[in-house]
Amino acid sequence: MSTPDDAAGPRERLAALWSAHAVRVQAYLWRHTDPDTAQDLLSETFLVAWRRIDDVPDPALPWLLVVARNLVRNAHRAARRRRTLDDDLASLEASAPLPEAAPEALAVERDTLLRGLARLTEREREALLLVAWDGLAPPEAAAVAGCSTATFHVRLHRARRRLAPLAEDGAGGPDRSPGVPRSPAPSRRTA
Amino acid sequence: MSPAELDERLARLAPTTSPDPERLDAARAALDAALDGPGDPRSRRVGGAHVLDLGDVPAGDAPLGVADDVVVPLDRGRTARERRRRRVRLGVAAAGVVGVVGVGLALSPWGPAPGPASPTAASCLAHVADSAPSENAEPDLAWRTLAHEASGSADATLLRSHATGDTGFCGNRTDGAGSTSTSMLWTNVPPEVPGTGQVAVGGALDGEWYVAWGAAGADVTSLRLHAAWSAGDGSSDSGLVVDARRDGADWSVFLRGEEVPDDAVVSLVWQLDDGTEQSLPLDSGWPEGGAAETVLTQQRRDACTDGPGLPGLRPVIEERYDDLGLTVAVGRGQLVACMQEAVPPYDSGNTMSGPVAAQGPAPDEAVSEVGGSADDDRMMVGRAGDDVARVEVLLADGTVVEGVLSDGYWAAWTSTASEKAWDGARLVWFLEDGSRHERRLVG
Repeated sequence: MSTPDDAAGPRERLAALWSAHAVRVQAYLWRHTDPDTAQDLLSETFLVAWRRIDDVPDPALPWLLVVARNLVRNAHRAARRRRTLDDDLASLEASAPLPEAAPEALAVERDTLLRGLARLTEREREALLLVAWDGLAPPEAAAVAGCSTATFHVRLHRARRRLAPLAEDGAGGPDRSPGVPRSPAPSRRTA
Repeated sequence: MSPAELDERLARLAPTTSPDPERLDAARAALDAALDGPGDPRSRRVGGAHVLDLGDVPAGDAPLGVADDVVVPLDRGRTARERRRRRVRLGVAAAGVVGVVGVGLALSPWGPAPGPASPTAASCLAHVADSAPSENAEPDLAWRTLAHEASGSADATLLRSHATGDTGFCGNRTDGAGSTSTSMLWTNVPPEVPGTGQVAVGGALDGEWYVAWGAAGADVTSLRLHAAWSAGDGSSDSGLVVDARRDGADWSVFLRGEEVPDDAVVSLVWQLDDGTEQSLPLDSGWPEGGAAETVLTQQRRDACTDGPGLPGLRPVIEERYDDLGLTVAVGRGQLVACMQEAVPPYDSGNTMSGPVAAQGPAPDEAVSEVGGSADDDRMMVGRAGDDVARVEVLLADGTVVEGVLSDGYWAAWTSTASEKAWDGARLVWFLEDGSRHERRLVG
């Protein structure tokens, strides 16, 4: 991944930001909104970066994802999205295309993991993917998720615990939420 | 599967190519057009002409109305504490807002359906039984339906076990091409019928469904759930009022989760037979910013200290982290700390206790007192002198766990540290003068 050169002119820096991060931001937007809206918001994200080019830090990806997140929220204010399991799975599949000529084992694993991810809550899934897909450290990911680092750790922890059995068993088994061990133990099942 | 293995498997799926190269190119073209040409559709116009060409505007200036309401990142994201403060502010305004909404709308977004329970409700028992702790070897089939509601696309049931007192919830929803079902089992003893004028909360759930249930005193004539929130642009306030279902002393409310926004202030409001009205904010288990303590505050503290049998314990740290919270209480030479659910019944999952020295540390010292691990949760609690401004736990792998410091006590916890990293941790504290000190963590 190239690093934008702070010494370059603003236009060159914006171009470098696009080269380095546009795909990541696009994938993030696809996870959170429909493709048409994602296309518009991708342009807007980098327009905001242009306007604030002096404020864009290095690394820039967490900053860009926060802008993208805020744009998504603005877009959703008018019409709240109705989330369904199938919608979530479709968004995940679209945002993480399988490379051409990928081995069948990877395709099977992708199917299992994406189905597991779709069954997590939106917050849990977001926590996992900001770390595992976008490569953010927990403090950066917490900023994108709009929560404290400690809260993000809780989400990440719970997400891993809920996804692990789904990833081992496939999506066909019951989705139990082990959570933090507690007694008595409320449990939740989402199918 | 270890967290590292799970992360590795997920990382193999990380998108490395555009999910749609054509749309990526189109977005870039739109960006270039906005930067280079007069065709920016968002540009401010005067008399039909663009007054500024974005391409001529130096980067860093913000002369146009392009996404002016977009909040760009600051040094850090808005913290949970800040969000909760917003809740408090909303709470101040909520009474008036809800009052207005309640008069005109008295919303119950999907009403009770008379008639037989749906097939989903019939299968609720099986789901709840599936959620029961494994030690309940004998299936308990003697359940009573406390409430059942249904509409064309959603169906919810609340059950109570005659034998154990367990309370179970099942919700099923169908949206478009998919459906989701949620079940929840609360194994706490349901609250006794409260005294005159009182309402007790036995359990709550905030996710795919927003559920609350409990018991009401005999003189409670009606009980409603009020939710109030501000619109995203701050231009207006919105509210929702839902009548609770009653079954003898039991009450319950079901809502679709998305009908209660994250920043909504949710309260129970009930009327007594003398015409007076009372209310209870459902997030008052963790009062902040000077908010009043309520019966839920005490209920949460009791859940941490295993009931009111430990009088004299004084809470020193009370922090909520999303759907979990940390409570530390001290008294009579003892310290009790627990991680617990953030909503009723505030089940405690990781509770520690131990003696604490009668004498606190020197003003420039911090010490660890009680620590432990349960599964992946690791927690350490200690004391800090008057000059200590901040406390951290530095794990052996270099991870920094920020501590909470309050009232001379500190606590740090993590659910992602390895046992090895935790065992080699060091306690780091910073004094008001900025100086840094550390010692090996002992607990």
